[in-house]
Amino acid sequence: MAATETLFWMNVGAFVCILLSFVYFVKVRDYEKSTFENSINVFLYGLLFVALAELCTILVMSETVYPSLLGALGLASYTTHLTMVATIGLLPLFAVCMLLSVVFARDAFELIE
Amino acid sequence: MILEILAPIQTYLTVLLLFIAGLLWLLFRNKRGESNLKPLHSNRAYIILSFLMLPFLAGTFSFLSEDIALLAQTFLLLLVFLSLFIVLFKIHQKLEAERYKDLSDLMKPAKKHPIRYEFARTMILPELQKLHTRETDVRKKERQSSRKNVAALRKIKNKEKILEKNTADYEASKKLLTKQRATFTEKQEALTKKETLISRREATTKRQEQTQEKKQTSLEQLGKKHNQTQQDLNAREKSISYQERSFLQRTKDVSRKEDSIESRLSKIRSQESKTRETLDEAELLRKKYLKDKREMSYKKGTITTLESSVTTKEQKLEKALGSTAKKMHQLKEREALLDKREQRLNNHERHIAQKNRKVSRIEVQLQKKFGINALEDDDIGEILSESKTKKIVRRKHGRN
Repeated sequence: MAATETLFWMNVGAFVCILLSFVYFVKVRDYEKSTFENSINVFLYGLLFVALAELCTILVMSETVYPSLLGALGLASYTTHLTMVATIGLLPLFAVCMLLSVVFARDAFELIE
Repeated sequence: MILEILAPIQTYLTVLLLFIAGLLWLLFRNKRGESNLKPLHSNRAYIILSFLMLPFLAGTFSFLSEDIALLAQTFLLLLVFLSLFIVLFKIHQKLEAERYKDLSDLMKPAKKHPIRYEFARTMILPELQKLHTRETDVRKKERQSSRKNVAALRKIKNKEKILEKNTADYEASKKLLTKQRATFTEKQEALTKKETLISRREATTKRQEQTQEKKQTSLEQLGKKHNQTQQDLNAREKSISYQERSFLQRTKDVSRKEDSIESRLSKIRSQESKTRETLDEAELLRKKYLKDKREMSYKKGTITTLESSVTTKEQKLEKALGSTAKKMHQLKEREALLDKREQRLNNHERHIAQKNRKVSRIEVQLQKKFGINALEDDDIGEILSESKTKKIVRRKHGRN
């Protein structure tokens, strides 16, 4: 139980870190050149998908740590669906976004030259 | 079933994609060198991107137990995103500090910052050129429009004259409006006063209503008492009805007496009407008397004026009498002279009368002697009577 609780709080911490990095990346975007704008935007989309996936895992883990939370939200019967959505949909999208952001960044550097 | 098969495939795919992305970036970084990546301020965030495959890779290891794999995955995820946040936070602070420095340099007029010149070259110069072209266009248009403006100015002057007239009318109407406003404000003040009065009245009516409600409650209590008293009254009424019958006979007698009194009263009223008529006549006489009095007073005034005129006339008459007295004195002197002449004439007449008598005696003697007609005697008598009357008139004149 203690292990699952620590895992839950670690996931919460990761989720908060993702949100904060998202916010600061948005702020840093203002200082970047317009050529890198596409790459950064795609990176931000990737962060958004990761954040959603993390939220899904937090909700699934809360079933064991805080069983009343999912019941209150009305998501008790959707736990398996949430994990499936996260693993099948959101995480591959995040990976695609990251790959695309690297590709766009390389193109932007070539454009600058 | 399909989802269960698809799930591990998707996890492998994500790991693969993230691995490719990280590898691509690391190769690009090695190829270009770290110094060439400076145009992208957040290049360190992209380096962390290459480590993002690690947590997902730890989750896919089959030789580790599920719990350890999950723990390793979450720990690495937390670590990677914490490092990403720290890196982005530092980059942001650094960039903000640089921007602040640049802005502060721009604010100082003494320092010649390269951004200034760049800004001037890239931003201001083309804008200035555009402005110059616009200026030339505008000048051309102004020249064209100036010709048109002359005609337009004439029209405007005419319109200005019309406007001046309109403004005069407007000022007059404005004065009227101010007056009306003043009256309106006065009316408004009066209305507010009325409103306050009405509100006071409303308050008083509310108080009265409250008092009326209290009175109603008291009246209801009194009504109960009244019902009790009414029952007593009914009993008394029955006794009174007996008494009333006895009184009816007496009232009949009284009615007879009343009829006789009414007949007397009618006589008295007729007398009263007569006395009123006499009083009206007396009033009319009084009014006539007052009118006469006014006329008298008016005549007195006229008389006093006449008296004054008479006194003046009397004075004139006295003067005239003085003059007439002198004339009278002269006339008396003349009369005295005339009296003397009359005396002479009388003496002469007497003398003539004596002569006539002598003649008549002589004639009588002659008639006796010669017998003259009776008619001739009458003629002589007439002559004699005429002479007598002349004497009497002369005597009267002498006396006056």
